Amino acid sequence: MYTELRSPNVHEPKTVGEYSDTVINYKGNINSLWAGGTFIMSRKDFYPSPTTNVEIINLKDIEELYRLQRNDRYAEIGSMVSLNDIAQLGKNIFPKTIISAIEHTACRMLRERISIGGTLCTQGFTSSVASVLVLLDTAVELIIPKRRNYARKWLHASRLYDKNGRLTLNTNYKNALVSKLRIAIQNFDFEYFNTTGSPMIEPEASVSLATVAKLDQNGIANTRIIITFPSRGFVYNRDIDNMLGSLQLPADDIRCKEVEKFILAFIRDNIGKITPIQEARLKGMMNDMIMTLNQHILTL
Amino acid sequence: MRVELVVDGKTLSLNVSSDKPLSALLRENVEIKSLNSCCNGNICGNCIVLLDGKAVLSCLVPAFNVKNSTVVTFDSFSKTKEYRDIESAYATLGIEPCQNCYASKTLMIENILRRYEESELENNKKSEDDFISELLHENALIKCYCMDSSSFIAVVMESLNNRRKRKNNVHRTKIS
Repeated sequence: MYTELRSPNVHEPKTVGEYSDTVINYKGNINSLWAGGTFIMSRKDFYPSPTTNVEIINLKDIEELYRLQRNDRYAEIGSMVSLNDIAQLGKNIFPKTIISAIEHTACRMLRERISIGGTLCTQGFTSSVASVLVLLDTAVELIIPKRRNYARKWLHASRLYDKNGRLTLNTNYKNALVSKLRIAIQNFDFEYFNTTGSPMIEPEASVSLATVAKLDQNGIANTRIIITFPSRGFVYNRDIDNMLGSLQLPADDIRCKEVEKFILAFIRDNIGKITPIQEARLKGMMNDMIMTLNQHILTL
Repeated sequence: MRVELVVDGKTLSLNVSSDKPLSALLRENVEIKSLNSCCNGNICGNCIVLLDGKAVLSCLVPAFNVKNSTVVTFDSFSKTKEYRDIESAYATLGIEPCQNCYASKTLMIENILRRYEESELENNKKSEDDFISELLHENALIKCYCMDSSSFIAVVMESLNNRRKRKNNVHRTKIS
């Protein structure tokens, strides 16, 4: 079956240096970096496909990408570490938001095959884990291939995306590879994560919302909120953070509606019209988040 | 691309397209009868096999990633003692998955049992709530509504009991 189709060449570098050499030798021909492969394989046109995957670089054998290190302030995670390993090892050290984002991504069987690097760098798809990593100020290390050598560069995870949460890694840093992530070990007084719909199966209907904040006697401080639409990107903006931060808590229904209206208008202006089901789901989640925040404040 | 792998105890060397999904490879090149997935990576959950002892959706694994691996499909798993534990749980409870998802659900239960045993050995046992929520998540992976969540949990628990009993019996006979 499909015998006339060309079998893609699979390159399996053992080190980052070999990866860099492969990328430089093949110039622009390599169009698939293979981490876990879960997203690529779930696309409808993946196999048999006459156009895609001419050359594949399989990152499975690069040992450096599997390393896990931690100290008191942060944990460094290789980009090929699976989501399941992160959820298990980081359950007691990482903020709850990231753990629940991982647990809501897929069941354990799939999580064992999804890599954290792949989650961050999938073109045309934004996962809630990636947006939560941006929310938590995660830093990423890039390996940028150069002739006869390669460079390493640390940058903030949000710089991999444009202002609307679409991946721009390949335009800003051609052929760069995310090798490590540095997640700060920090505590928040209030953490909220909620998602509805399956982002992989129905990206046009799924939406997720994550919020972290510090609480004091006057209300909430340092509020950060991120809303993810898997097929469009994410919304992460200081204006929304400030709007939520200026809420007088406990907030009543009228204030809730105002916040809701502001955020929906902001989304419409920036990332365009979202589907009615996403809008309805987002409204429900925001209402739930503010109610949880109210409860939290009242029990202080 | 030449791929060498062990399928159901047979060592095979196949010449296949490197990006061919394992599910297609098993169906077309090895002629495995128990695989009835037709979703082409849409995560219907009906193509579960054990790859190096762990359950995977075979439509999400490309051929180049299974080089030198061991694949166990339901065809050979149904002849093992481990399968009897699950089969007798189905019989005891009078709950059985439909023909369409029988193989996948059974392999998924086997994977859960193995994982549970591993965590018991490592003294890393989860709380019952965590275990059950994990089961509910896993049950949702197979898009078939022949068995509801509570029945699925009951089957897993019963299979776990059967396995413990069998292992204890083996242990006792060894001692005596």
